[in-house]
Amino acid sequence: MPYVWRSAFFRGLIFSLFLLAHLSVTIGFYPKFLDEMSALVRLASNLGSQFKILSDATTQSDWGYMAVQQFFKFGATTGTFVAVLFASGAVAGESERRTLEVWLARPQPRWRVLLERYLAGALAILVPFVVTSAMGPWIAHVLDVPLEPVTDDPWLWASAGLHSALFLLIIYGLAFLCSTRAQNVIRLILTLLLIGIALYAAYFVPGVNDWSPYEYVDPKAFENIRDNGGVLMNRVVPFSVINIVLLIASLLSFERRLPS
Amino acid sequence: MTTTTQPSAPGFTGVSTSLRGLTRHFGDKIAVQPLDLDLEPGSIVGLIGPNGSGKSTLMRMVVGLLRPSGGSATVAGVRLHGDGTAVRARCTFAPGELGFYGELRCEAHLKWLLKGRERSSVARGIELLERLGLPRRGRVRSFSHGMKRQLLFAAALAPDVPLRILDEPTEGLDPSKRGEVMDLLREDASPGRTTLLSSHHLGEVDHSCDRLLFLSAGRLIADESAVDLAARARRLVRVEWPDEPPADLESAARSNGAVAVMAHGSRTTIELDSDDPRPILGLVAQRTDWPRPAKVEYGQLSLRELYRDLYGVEGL
Repeated sequence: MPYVWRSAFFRGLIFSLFLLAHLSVTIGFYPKFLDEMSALVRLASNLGSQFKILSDATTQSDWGYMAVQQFFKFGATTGTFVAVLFASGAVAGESERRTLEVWLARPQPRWRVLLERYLAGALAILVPFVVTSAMGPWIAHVLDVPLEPVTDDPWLWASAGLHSALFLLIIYGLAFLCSTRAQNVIRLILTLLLIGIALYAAYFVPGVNDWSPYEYVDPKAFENIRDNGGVLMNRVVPFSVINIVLLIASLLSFERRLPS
Repeated sequence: MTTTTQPSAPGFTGVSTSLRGLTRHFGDKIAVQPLDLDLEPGSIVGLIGPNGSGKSTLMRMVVGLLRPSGGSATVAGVRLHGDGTAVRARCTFAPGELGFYGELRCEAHLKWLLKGRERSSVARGIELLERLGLPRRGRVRSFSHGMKRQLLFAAALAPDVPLRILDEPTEGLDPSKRGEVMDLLREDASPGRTTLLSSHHLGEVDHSCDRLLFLSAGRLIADESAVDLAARARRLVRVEWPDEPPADLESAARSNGAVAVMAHGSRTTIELDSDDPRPILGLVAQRTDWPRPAKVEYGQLSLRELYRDLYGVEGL
């Protein structure tokens, strides 16, 4: 298997195991959550309006609980870290380890070299998210946790996973674009994570939460997926377009990248 | 020891490389001044210059890794444009910087380096690894600096292409390995193939190259065949004066067969137009109004001294 794909395969595998472990813990914890729900709701109500909205969504249904725990909290936070980590090293990492020049010295067009790397990293995010999400009903069955009526529909779970993954791919695409210009990977990762944390924190601040992109993956988005019975085209299409634009910008930027 | 099969390069006869006004700026700094150059097939060309003279920048431009700020180039019969993929398909490039995926094994890394080349290049690359004594199964991270350099060299020598560009191929190698690498380069030479290699050690390449190009501060200051250069070195007279050289030395020397006179402090280097040093030596001995020279040398100067004295290029 070519080096880029093998590396992406192992990173995707590790990400899948993390997602699977988290999904299993989340589903396994659900009965206990129901027992402690009233106390958690009281606690969330005292923390502020945004937390109350979250607790309301969480306690509305088993799907609301899953949407908050897996797709919003774990997907948006851990996924942001993963997307930044996967993308930042794509070009800047090669430059830092001084492999960029031998990489580019081969008789392959730059766009093809970069596209291969982009796709490998993007699939290492997209596939684990969609596949592990679709396994939700099976995990509930294995753990013998009743999550009726939504958990027996893998399509709904996969749709939610796709929604989260496309959002994360925007973060991945931004980090990838920055990587085509950057020299220092650690500085790039820290800068992007700092911005990501600030935007995530902004989601919880009344008045400015509308400016946070994390609003597009908040529990309401997943409620809409449930109500729609599958993917939301008014979200999937813009997310996809943004991803394509970021990829084209990365390709153009990389064309003039110095080999060191 | 295994015998390395020579690729015949039958289709490359007559394929030349020409650069016209090729230049590169980095902001306000001019790394390579507008340069015109023709490289004829079947030659080994040495690109010589001290660190920072623009050798690597020029090589990177020729293989399309750096876009020129101006000028044009036809490399191995292909016009250089865009990201240079078409050029790189017709030439190999061994960068001066060593960057490797340490986790890969030597043979796997070689295959990675040869991605996009003809299938037979891998077999030839493996033969070269064996000839250079590199462990095929060894992890690259366990390799010394010199071994890594040889791995890049093997990858650059394996494909059957009309042009090889090697940036400091002997840097970091011990003397015996350096000799082995230069031997391989000479074996690799064929009528249709051009090899351009850079070095900042003149003594290392002057015996192997047919032609030497000297870069200094991004400018091509000399372009000579190795034979002519050696002849020039033999025609140098160096005079050490006890103090300042005489004021009328240059005019007197020029009227006695000197083509160039360069003064560096108390030292004067005179290049003659013939192999006969008698007019100049006679001049120095007979001029009683000049101070008596502390030392006079003739026919003993190296190429390094030639370039230091005539062009002021240090660090070769």
